[in-house]
Amino acid sequence: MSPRDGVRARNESAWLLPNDGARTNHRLRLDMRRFADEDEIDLVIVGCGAGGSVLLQRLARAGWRVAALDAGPFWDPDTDWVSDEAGSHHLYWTDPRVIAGSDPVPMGSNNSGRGVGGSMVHYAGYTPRFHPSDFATNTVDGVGADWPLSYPELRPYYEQIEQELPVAGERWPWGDPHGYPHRPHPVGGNGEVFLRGADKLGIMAKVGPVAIVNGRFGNRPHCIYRGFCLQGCKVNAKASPLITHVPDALAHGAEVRPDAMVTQIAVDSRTGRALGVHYVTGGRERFQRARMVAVAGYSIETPRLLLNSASSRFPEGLCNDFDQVGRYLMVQGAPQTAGRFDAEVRMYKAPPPEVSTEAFYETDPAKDYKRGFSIQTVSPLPITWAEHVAAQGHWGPALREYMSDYVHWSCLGGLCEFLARPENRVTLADEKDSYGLPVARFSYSQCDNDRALARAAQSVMEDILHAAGADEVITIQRYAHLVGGARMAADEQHGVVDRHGRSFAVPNLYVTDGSVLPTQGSANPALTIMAVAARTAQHLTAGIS
Amino acid sequence: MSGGDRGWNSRFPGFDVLGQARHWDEVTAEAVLARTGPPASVKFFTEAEESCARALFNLLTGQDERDGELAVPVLEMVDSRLAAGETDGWRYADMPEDGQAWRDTLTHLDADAYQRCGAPFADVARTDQVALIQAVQDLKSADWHGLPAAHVWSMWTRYACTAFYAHPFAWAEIGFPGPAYPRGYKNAGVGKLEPFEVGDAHPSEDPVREGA
Repeated sequence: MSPRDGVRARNESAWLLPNDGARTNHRLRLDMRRFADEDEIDLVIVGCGAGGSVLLQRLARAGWRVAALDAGPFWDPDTDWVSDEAGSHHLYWTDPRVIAGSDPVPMGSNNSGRGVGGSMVHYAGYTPRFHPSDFATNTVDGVGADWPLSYPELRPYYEQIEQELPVAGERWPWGDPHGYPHRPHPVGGNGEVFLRGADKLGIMAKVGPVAIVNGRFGNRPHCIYRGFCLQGCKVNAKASPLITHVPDALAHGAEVRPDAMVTQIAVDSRTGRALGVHYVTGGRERFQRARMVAVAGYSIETPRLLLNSASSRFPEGLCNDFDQVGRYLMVQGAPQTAGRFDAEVRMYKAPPPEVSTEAFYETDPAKDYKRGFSIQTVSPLPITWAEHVAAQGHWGPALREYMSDYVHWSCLGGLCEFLARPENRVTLADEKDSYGLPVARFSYSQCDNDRALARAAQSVMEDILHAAGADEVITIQRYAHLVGGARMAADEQHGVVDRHGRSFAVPNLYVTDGSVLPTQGSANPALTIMAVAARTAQHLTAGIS
Repeated sequence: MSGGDRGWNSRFPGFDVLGQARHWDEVTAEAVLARTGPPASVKFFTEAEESCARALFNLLTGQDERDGELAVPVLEMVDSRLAAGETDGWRYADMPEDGQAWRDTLTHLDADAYQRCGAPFADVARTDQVALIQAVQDLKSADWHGLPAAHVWSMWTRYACTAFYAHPFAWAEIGFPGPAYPRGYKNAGVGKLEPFEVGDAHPSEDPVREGA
């Protein structure tokens, strides 16, 4: 049996999609099992993104009666998504949020997805693993936190998910060296520039790792290199749970309930156990009973839901006896540096995720900062590129003139491991959303180590672009990704959940999304979020310790 | 600012974005072509706000009504977003929510214009308009009518650029072909063109290079 057959035997999603050019199996959705609110199902999952979908699929396969409620739509790539930047605004979570602190982090298109598939609908597609050192930064580097989980314990789940997405890339020499199931994609202009500059400087750079099929996979077709990965893949080439885990979950009796906003987790004040979730759909308030609840709303909505689920037993918010909910929320510093070439790069003509280097990922004892950064191609489309140009102070005719030079630019992005800090957290604002619930207030401030990393990443990106022949470079300061906010820890005084994702406070309540990560490394988090959720699923179904 | 010679909009001679619309998928084509039709009527801004905002957007996006009809109806595009409450999903703690922030900052801009020239922003000379908004940008994170100027500037330019660079007219100006589904690209790589792309007529005339 080839490895590919092995994937199909445990996750048939790619084969359950249509092979006639349409992107959605409507029959599978029409025939989907539907539970009644009164049914006490085995597990209700809040949020159908990277973490929630993997858990849903695994548990459905194991015969659990399981439903995932998602606040957003059940997307159909054919009719709901467009090959256009401005027309993709509805892919983002745009309910109001307040951002504060000395370095506030913009949300929306930057890091927050909406609907079935979650943020992986609009993520670029990079799926690197974390390095073994990420799981023990406190011990190794004296910063951040140690996970209550080691890299070798997660490795089998990384391998499973890499096959299920599947991931394409060169053999990966960094961290725990490993190969990928699909060969690396050919690169476009931006990737060429990166590889050329890095080669001149003796910096190792590699093609990948991206969760974009290279060749046919089940009924998912080959990538057409149209460059709109961040607008939702209309081709079904780029992996998101909508096509990698949800179809198999439905085929095994799971329910996905879209347009259902969970407003509160109910807990029995006598037993301290979760009873189910209150949710709103079609303007009506409802309640789904469940034997177990898993929250997978990502790093802003998960803490917000816990805080909005305060009760007499948990007056400061569910699972918040030790004031841990919402804390240690992390974003990666993501400066983007662009270089101008007389030749036409036309960076929009290929997936934005092409080439990356993790040569600067680990702590370099020669530097005055801890931990490190990775560098990747990013390839902004015109509206996003205008942000880069406007950030240089240009407006009016100067902006137009600068923008007319778009085809000559190449753009790289850094991902810097900004450190987890307790004061970087979600709390509830006074402002209410359309459901009458307090919105999240996310306060974020950098530390000196963070600023040093961002400077270092910028400097390396400038060097690479100059080495490739750029005559001018510009940089914009940004953030990318979210993790933390309900982190796993050894005990309840240092985190919200244990090494399996089970909350310390409520024995039948789990968190299975990026919120549980205690550190973030310099890696895009999607693969790790899925791997951790797959491990939680294994714990629930097979009782691993 | 470089004034009115507008050399940048002739870098890709003959490049026709809309001429390729027959190759776009139906859903995308509908969304994009709607932007080239008659602009929606103004629903969110009051009349006074509308005049002020229109002048502001023209300045920020380098459009000049003296040239004739505006190529990209930025005012109407932003108005539609605000009327639908379509924000970016966040606001700074030291700013009101976007709709209110737009109303407030347009009022402040008019107040500045009255103070400097005794007339609303839309009615003062273009050089004064430029000076008035340049003053806001120059404040950086300092206070402007009780708001951090940098956050005001960021909101103004973000809404203006998002609208302007959503329009096929703007894509044509920068050599970007727009939608690419279901066709995709076959010739990615430095210096490579698709048959429907047009190369830059002045590739070495970097408009921003020192001394260019």
